[in-house]
Amino acid sequence: MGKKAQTGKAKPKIDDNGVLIVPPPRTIANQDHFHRLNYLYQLSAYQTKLRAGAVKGHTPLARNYIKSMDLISKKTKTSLLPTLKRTICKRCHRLLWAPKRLEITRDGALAVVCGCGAVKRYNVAADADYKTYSEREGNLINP
Amino acid sequence: MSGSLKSLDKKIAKRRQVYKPVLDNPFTNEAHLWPHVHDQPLIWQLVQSSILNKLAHMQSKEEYPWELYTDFNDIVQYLSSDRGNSDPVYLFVCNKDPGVPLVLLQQIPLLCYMAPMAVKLVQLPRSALAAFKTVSKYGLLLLRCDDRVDRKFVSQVDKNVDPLRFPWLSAVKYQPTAVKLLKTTVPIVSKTKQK
Repeated sequence: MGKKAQTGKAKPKIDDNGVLIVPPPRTIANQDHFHRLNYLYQLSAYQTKLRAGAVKGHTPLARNYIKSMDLISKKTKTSLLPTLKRTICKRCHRLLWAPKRLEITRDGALAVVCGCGAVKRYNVAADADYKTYSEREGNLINP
Repeated sequence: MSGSLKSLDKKIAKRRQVYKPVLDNPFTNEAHLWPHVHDQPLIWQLVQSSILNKLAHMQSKEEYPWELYTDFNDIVQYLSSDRGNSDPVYLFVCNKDPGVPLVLLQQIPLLCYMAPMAVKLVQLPRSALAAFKTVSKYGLLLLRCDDRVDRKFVSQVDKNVDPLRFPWLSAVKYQPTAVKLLKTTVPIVSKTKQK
């Protein structure tokens, strides 16, 4: 009797919202894509640092690395966290370490202006306590 | 008959939990981004008694006895322009309080590090924003340490607050890949419904 109970299938766990609870996986598939993206990002960071004093932030190699990284992430369908994406200009693929302008605009939004003129706007006035899904507690776990 | 229709409905799973792998920023380490303050209560008391209490009695910015900035745009402008003076500055930030946008806080440590002058970044304890509300909306205060600032206050802050460090910016070292799992749910679609 006891043996039967041990070998039998475990009952699936369903929470109050009707969500089937599944334990986190032990391994991550396609880790090499992530390694590749991480390496490209760090190469770009290194190049940006080397050419910190360049005129008008002229960092072609650094931008090219980020462009490759962006393309690879799209082709391989690998996701990047918003904390990473916020450091990249969508238009010219520069790293936004030292943006051209950083200000709170009249309407209360935080504007991060890249050297190419592209603006990243965060509406901080609407909800000062806003957190992205990954920033909320319990949503992001270390494997 | 056991339970109502609602409780039976809960037993049938509609969504399934999934874990999506995502790449984190290899250089963002929140624990080391903000310099450690050794004696937090002492620093907070000093800020209150030496600066905030005096500012509370002043009507306008022109009356301020020191050169200080409380507006985010003014602070950014000060930190990104080379003013020709070598005076260090202190930037007090209420980074632990709700009401200060996270995006705004994420910009500050690197901004201070890139500034042409020496910047001491001082994080204030939780609930410090309430005392700052009359002075600054987002709990920021930049103070230029010239001769007008009390020397004891300066020495205490220097002694108790660690310098700003960015190990990944000062030395080239490969950081291991930071892959995290994002916990989310997807709907369970039965094969018969799909057809």
